Amino acid sequence: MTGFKYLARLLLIFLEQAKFVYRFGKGFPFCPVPNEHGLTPIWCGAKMGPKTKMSKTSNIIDFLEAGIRAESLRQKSIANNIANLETPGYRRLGIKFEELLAKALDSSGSADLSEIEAQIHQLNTTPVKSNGNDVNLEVEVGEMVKNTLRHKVYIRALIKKYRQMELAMNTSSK
Amino acid sequence: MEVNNIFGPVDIAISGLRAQHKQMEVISSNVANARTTDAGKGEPYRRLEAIFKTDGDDIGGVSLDEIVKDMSDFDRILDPGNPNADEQGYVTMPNVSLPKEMINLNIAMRAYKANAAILKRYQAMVETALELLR
Repeated sequence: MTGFKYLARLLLIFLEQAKFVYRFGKGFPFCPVPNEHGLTPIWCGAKMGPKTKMSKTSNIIDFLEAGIRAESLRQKSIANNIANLETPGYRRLGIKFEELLAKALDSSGSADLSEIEAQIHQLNTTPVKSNGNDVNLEVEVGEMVKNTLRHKVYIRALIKKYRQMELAMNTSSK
Repeated sequence: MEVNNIFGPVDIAISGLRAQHKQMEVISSNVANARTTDAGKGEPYRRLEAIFKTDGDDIGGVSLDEIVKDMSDFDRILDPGNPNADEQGYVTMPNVSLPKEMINLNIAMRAYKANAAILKRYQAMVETALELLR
């Protein structure tokens, strides 16, 4: 087994020499000085560097909860847009969540997920029809498809997480 | 257009749907005005055509470039009783040919369906990926 590990490391060194792989971090001893991009070879381990974006909360369920909350708000805004498909002067509503999350992670390097709340905003850049309305049915359907898929991903991941907990509690057997 | 995200195919299919929607709008305008002899400026209605362009020069969706007028010759039909008839009894009619418009309508509908099918299939594809999470 040790021999295999040695071989694997040799392979990684070779790959790194051939400029195939690079990864953040410097957790492993005997690591060279990071190069101009702040990168060290992959065999130095994947310890997170200062540039890595990580949230304060490490709880997977918190992540998923924040996502699901944003998705359900987005679903509401889509329903509202479709309901106002022919309302004169209505401008479509969008949801800002991913941008806020990215900004929060960028500024502090760590973010508290409970502080980030999805926001409703009016884009006002889409072309307007003759009645002052800018809702397009196809666009809303596309948004809904995307939203549904994202929602499914979150729910699946949540189910998986609960399964793991059940397994740990040994309640799933029998 | 951003294409390296997971929802690239959705955005592209939606842009196709929008383009075909516009095309159908243009066709319905042509059909509705197939016998409009007065479209202002003393001319009958000129057939319109939607021109599309791709978004960006790489993989990307489609968007409406412009709607141009078909500059081909107008039809002239013999109808001496018509108040718009000239000295020889001919009336200038729009250069819209209904059979052609019907063919275009069919093409637009098929294209719309094709884009919708892509959207549906892509959804099924993502769901297949999600099955692995079970």
